[in-house]
Amino acid sequence: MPVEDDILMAIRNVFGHATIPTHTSSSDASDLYELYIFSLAIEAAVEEGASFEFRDVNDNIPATLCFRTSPGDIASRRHAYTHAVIRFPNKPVLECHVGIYVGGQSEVAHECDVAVLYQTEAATCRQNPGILPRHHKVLIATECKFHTGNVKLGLGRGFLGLVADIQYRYGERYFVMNTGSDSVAKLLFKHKKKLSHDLVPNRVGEITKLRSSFREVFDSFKIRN
Amino acid sequence: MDDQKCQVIYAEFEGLLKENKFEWVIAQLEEQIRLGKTVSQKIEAVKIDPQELGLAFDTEEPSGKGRKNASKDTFLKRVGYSPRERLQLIIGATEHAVVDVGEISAHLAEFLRQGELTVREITLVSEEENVLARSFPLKESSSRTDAVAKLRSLLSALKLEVSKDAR
Repeated sequence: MPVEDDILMAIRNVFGHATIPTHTSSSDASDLYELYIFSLAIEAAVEEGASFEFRDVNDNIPATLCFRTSPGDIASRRHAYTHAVIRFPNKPVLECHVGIYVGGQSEVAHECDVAVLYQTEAATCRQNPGILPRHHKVLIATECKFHTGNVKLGLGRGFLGLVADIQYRYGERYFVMNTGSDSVAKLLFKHKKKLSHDLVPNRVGEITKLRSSFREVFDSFKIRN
Repeated sequence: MDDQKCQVIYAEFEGLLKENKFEWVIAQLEEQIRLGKTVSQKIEAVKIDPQELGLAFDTEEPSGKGRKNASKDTFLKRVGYSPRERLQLIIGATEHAVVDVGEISAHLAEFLRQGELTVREITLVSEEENVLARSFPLKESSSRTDAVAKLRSLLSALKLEVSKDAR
């Protein structure tokens, strides 16, 4: 039997054991990917000397973490969505959220897959439901894309528009994808935008680069405050 | 490995993905295959004699000597994927959809185990009305770890076999 047939048979035998049977859809993979980037942002903050804890919209410490699968209002109480509270000693408190809307310069609401912002801004929005965090209070905003093939160029073009509308001189906006789409990479590189490609757990180099970039943002935040 | 064998293995992967409810992977892949890829190709651009247009000057940009003597320009060309490339694509897609997701889930489980965190579960739920929260099986991620690692190693071995034959 040719080698490839042996390998194929072994793949067949192990395949079912490697999957998460309840979470096989495209949106499941994308949701998990956003949580993964959320965890990397928190880890970067911890590496910069922060501590963190999870809270929900009612300021309770949750035993079960609840995250959005579609973008929403930071003040939404439809479910007790979780965010991370990030504390650097003697610095303003930050929060890290998944899937929230942020107000842009052009008075348009933009979705941020993962966002790190000032807690005072988040608290203001929670006290005034419907109010969106202002883009210049958002330190880190990431657009996360999980695909199994090429990421379409249109998504890169959309990101350029997003960045133009939510830019902040002391923060960074990232396009993070799990694959290495050449066209998107070329477009964002040409426009000098922050891009993380091939960002998956076994690509240690790519993870290190993104984490370092997150750390730089936190470091600059500590210096300025 | 000839084209026919590549097609057979591709079909095997398609079946495997369908059996395990990964139809979306095949859909994304088919879209990519339909669009094809772009490659650079040097060809001779069509040139029009300015006198034919009644112009007293050349409409082409000046670009040095020899330009008019059948010089070639670089164009982008859209081409289809070969059976071998299609097989490489579906192996890569499987790696992303199953192995990467498995490793991400293991990373999250590990992340939530550290320190004094007492997280027992993650639920994912939409903002939309009447949508039930779905629990993500964090605890089971450790039991999947070996299978995920094995699958990554097998897919890498298969990729190697496919590329070996291409040389």
